[in-house]
Amino acid sequence: MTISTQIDSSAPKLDVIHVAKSFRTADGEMVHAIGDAELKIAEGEFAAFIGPSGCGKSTLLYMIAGFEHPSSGTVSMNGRTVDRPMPDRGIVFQEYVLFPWLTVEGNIRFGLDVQGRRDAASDERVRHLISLVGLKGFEKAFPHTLSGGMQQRVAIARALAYDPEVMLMDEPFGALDAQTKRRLINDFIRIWEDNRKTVVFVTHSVEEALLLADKVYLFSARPSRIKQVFEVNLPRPRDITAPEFLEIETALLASLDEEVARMME
Amino acid sequence: MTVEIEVTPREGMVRPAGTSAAAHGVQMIRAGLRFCWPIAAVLLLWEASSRLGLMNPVLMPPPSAVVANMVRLLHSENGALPVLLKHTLVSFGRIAVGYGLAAVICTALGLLMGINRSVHAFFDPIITVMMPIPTLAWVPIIILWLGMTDATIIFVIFLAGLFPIIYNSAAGVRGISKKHLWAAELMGASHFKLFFKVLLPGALPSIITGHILAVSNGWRALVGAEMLAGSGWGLGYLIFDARTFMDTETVYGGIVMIALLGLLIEKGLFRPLQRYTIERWGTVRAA
Ligand SMILES: Nc1ncnc2c1ncn2[C@@H]1O[C@H](COP(=O)(O)OP(=O)(O)O)[C@@H](O)[C@H]1O
Ligand SMILES: [Mg+2]
Repeated sequence: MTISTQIDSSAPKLDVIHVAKSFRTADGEMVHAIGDAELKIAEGEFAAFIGPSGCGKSTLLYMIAGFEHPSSGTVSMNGRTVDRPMPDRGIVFQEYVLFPWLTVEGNIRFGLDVQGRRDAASDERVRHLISLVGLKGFEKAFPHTLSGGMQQRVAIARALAYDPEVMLMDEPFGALDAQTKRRLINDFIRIWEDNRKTVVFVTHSVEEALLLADKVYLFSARPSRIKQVFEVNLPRPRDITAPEFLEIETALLASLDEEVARMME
Repeated sequence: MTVEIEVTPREGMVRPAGTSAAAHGVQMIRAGLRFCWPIAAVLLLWEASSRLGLMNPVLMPPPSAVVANMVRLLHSENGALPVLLKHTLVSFGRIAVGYGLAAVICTALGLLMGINRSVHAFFDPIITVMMPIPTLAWVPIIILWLGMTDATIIFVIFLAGLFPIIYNSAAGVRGISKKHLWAAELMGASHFKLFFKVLLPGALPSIITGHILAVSNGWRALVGAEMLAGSGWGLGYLIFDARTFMDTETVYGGIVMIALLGLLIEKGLFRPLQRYTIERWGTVRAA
């Protein structure tokens, strides 16, 4: 085994190797969130994490981001161990987490600004993204004047603006009403097909996972491991009424229900 | 390669677009009237009862007499600075220096406490113990240190601002969500940029609250300190001094000046600042 600092093109984009994560709660008890997670995500793959609530999906995503650190095991990206947040990744949270003191445009160009990339090309990129996510005319608006769906569009554009290699998304459509959610899913599929970035998408919705992902990683109950991986080889946009879709959905739901039941015990 | 997405207006702006300048002016006048009429009503009632002899005119002189007295005190005699104006300017200057020092030093210390765990762990217990002590309780000690001087009064105002500013600045930083900091770090913000682009604006609502409290505490402490340590000038001294001569018209005149100046600082300094920042950003907390 060699420890390399070079980008290894044969390595998977993201490699989660025997990762475990425990937390000590405020009253001193240990929560074993992730027992032993093992998975590899390829370049350009759209990966979805699904599992019972509290099984550690967000925790694993935050370890990939470099926000949290594994209790044991390693997370690596391009063959290098992830040890801190770096702009080769982008994040979208369920709660948008926009900067309220910046306009739509200011939020979207935040990454470019703090990285000192302020030139004609980045201006053009921001303009392009604003129209890509459907925010033309709202450049100077402050986030609190926008609806939830619009705020999440800003958050997606903000994460795409500095062109990270991997997009990390933690239930990004989870706080939106059904109709807004459907529009955002469709729009996001089009945006993704345009750039084909590696995406890790946490969700609690089986339908959402199957509409979007190439592979769905099903987490077991706590302390979690990856119980099963579902490959979704269906062309997008997908038809939720197609028999192939329903077949995977039924299998995934059954397996997920088992884990939800175990979590209740 | 452009995929453009249209968004219906329904999904867009929630707040109505800006109203015209004329409509805005009318609104301002309405708001002004709403604010002033109850005060005017009380003053009228007071005037009437004082004139009708229902109230002792020495203890409760009619507002018109108070105003006439103020006009007299604001009248310049042979080119010198009018007395009331000088008392006011002296008080105002002490506030400006005392609060100004607190604003600079204590905001910095509070932010540091918000950022650094150890600094917080050290100062938090001290502040928790000291905060409930009324500022004026320190005046006798400070007089012993610094004498009956301007320095004493300025130090008291500084103390009055110290705790609210430190406490609220620290709380502002600590209240910024972890996810905002994470997001900024992931996007490549250095510690320096994190401070100026996230921590400072994120803490601003709380910082402003601290400063408003500091000035209003400062006013209160000023008047008390000037009564106890006043060296001939200042509104607190004026009120205290006039009382010994039963010159109640001047006492009320001093009180009116204090109210007017407090209002001026609140509406002239903090309101515009709030309107320009936290109200525009929607980060004002409901009071
Ligand atoms: N910072 C933390 N401190 C203590 N417990 C935590 C912390 N973060 C997560 N947990 C616990 O770890 C488990 C997994 O959390 P999370 O990753 O948020 O689950 P999911 O996203 O799958 O719903 C939960 O039981 C949660 O309470
Ligand atoms: Mg979660």
